[in-house]
Amino acid sequence: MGLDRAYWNFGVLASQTGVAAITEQTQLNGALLAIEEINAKGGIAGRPIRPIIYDPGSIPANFATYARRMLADNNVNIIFGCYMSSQRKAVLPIIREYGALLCYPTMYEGFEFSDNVIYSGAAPNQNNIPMAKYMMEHCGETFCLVGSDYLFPREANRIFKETIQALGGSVLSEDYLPLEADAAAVEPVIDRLVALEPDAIFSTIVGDSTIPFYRGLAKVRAGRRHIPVGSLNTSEAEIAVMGPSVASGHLISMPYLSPIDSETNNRFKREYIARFGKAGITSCTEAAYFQVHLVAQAIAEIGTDDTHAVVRALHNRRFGAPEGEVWVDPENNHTYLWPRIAEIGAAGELNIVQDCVAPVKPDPYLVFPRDRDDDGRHLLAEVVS
Amino acid sequence: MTPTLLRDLRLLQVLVNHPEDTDCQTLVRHLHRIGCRVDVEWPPAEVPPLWPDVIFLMIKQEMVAQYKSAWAEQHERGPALIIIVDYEDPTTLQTVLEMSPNAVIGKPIQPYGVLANLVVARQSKLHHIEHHQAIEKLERKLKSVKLISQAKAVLMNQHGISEEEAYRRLRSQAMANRVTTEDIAMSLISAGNLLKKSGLS
Repeated sequence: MGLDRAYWNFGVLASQTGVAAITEQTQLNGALLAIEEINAKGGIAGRPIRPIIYDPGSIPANFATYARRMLADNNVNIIFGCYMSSQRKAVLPIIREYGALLCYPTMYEGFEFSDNVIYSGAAPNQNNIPMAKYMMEHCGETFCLVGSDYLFPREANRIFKETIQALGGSVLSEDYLPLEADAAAVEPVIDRLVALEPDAIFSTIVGDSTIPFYRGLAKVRAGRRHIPVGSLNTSEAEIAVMGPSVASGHLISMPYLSPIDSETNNRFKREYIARFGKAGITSCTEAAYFQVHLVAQAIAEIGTDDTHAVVRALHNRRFGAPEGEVWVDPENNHTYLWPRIAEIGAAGELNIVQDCVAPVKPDPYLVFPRDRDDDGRHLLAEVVS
Repeated sequence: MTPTLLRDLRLLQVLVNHPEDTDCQTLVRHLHRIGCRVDVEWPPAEVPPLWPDVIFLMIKQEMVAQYKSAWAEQHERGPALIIIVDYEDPTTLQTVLEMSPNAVIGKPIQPYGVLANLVVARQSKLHHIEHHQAIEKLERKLKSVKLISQAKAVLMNQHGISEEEAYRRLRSQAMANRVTTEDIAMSLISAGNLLKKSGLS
């Protein structure tokens, strides 16, 4: 905070260009929508929030450069953003060096904790394990795994595989594609997967190659049995780009899904569309949105944006987010969220096929699903009382 | 398949020998996040307990003399030892070396690296145990090979037979008496010694 008494400067690091721009742009939108809502009501303790925005172009090194610029030169102490783990890892040392706070709104592979980070995307027990369980119940027992070639897909596939195997299913293949893979690079992999005749596919392809993957699969679909693809990150923004004929019949597992029927969510969607002209709200959009609100409430209460004071004030603070009431777990700085699963319908709409009755505690250090419990309820972390 | 060392993290009993301060809190909270069961004890026991899977031990120069030797000779099946150091001067490092830990972490304690050290320390401990067992087995084997070749020499001398024949006789005696070849070899040698001593041979 320091010298700039007229504003609260909130940094937003979300790419508007590069491989992850489709999703990161919606993160930026979510943060901006919340900032504008708060400012419309007079800001925090009478001071408006000023968003400080850079476009890192989806490149991790740029995230580091701009994070440092925000903290060193722009009088920022709290940064919202980062999508891929490589981006977050690039920013972390700088956040620590400045004793700043990173609010990370994306689901990731887990196994991280920092006093300087609030994690509000799903931990693997909040998206991956529910998806594995759902697909075992509804899609069959044999799976092909495919992902982009970096840390998140490999770890997400490991957890998915462990869960499937613990439930008696099997994995026929595991393939990794470069992040920038185009249709020509994706199609041979699709041919190989389809030839194996799996009951379903679990995809952790991230970024631009998501679209050619689903398109390629739709191309070979003609005259064959439909092979459902389960994903933790294929977003509504990406579904809109690929179109309903390509996307229909596939599954996504996320805490936020736009059809959630609540007053809060309906208002959120209305305001989002009014502000940005189109839908395509992702789970990251919603998380960025509620993180800004949660942080603003914490600052309003304590009157400072000092990192450790804000983190303390965030612990257990409830906020009625579009997905439902959420709060940060004081044990691990991750967030209680509402795991849900949707099937994409014929018109590209999302149909929630598995809803959630209460938020689920985040368990970012879950190595193996079975070690929770042995009686069948073990695959979802315990539901809060 | 995820290796056992990672799968059983939530079954681990961990003992933290560290004064109860913020560093201790950081470590214990993080071990809880990982899912381990944790006990804290300070000062450390003079002889390391055997019940934990892993012990984190904070080294304090002024105290370490009391328990160093007992900890350095800890039981082969005892816990994996992770030493926590706040200085890296040669005196401290000499103590660390004398205690042969399985991993070392520095202060101030931070969450990054605790999990990696935990699994590496357990692996190093398991390897240590395996190597120890392998060496014991080899020593036994070596002893038995020596015994048998001695016994063969005795038979070859006494009966003027080939080495193969000597071995065959040892084996068939062992099988007939339902004992090991080493046992037969041992009785043969000690009988030979006895006869020699008593002047009967």
